[in-house]
Amino acid sequence: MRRKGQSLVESLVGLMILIPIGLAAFDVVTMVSCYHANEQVADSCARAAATRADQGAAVKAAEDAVEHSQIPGAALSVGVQSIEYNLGTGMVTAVTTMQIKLPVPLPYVSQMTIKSTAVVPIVGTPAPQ
Amino acid sequence: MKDAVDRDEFKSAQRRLSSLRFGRRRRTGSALSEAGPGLFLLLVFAVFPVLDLIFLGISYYSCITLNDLQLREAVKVSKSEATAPNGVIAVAVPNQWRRTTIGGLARLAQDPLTNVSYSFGKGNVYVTVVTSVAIQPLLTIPFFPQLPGLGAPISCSISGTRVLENANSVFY
Repeated sequence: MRRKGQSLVESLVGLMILIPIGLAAFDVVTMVSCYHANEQVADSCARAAATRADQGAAVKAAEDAVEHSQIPGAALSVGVQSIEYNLGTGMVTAVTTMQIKLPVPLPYVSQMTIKSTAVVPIVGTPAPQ
Repeated sequence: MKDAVDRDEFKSAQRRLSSLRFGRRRRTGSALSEAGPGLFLLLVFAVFPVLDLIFLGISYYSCITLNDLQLREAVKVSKSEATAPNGVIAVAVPNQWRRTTIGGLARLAQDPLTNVSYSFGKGNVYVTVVTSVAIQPLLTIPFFPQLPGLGAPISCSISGTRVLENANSVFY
């Protein structure tokens, strides 16, 4: 009888460790998936902005690219944080942010913000002679 | 008196030896009779389904890679090339993908079906590639005959959208 009680306690202690690890795995998978999706959104924004001739048009093109992007279910919102259209370097830098909701909220952390950056060469202006 | 003590010691030693040789369950034989059904249940309802699910995840990831490769190609070629039934997107890229290691990991019931479509944004043109696949389970478990992923192929569609490299590609 005493041995059975010991097994029960050991099982409970084991489960108390294993269950949070299993639940945390859901969060990790969601974070990785959303990070990957945000990278693609940033790349798409930079690519769209790179086809424009100035900063204003580049920002509008990037915002349009966000609207057409496929966003994972865990994402609450996606937006363009900044577009740097630099004719000097010939590159466009797009920064996007994605706010995600964790499937298993951690203590004091139920939402996270992921930031991604993409750099693409400008193709919307003629090459210098 | 001494004989009785010797006899008791002998019997005790014999019991210990018997226990060491054959274990405690020798009398009933339950260990042997339970091992077969136990192993069967463990394999069929636990180990094999878990292996199938792990393999399903690997195959799905492999198919995501295929969709990504097709999308990368679709943004660069013209619409007529991208939508051709025997063109580079529908045939050449999947064939090339199958020859790679990650492509070989996916066990498909049939060739992947690809649909390429275009949409217009504010100055941008977007191409969407939808890859439909039917993934066969690694181990077909006969006890789940119609259950997708365990006893039958599971169908899934993977979609990706990107900005067209040259917006004029959509017109020719």
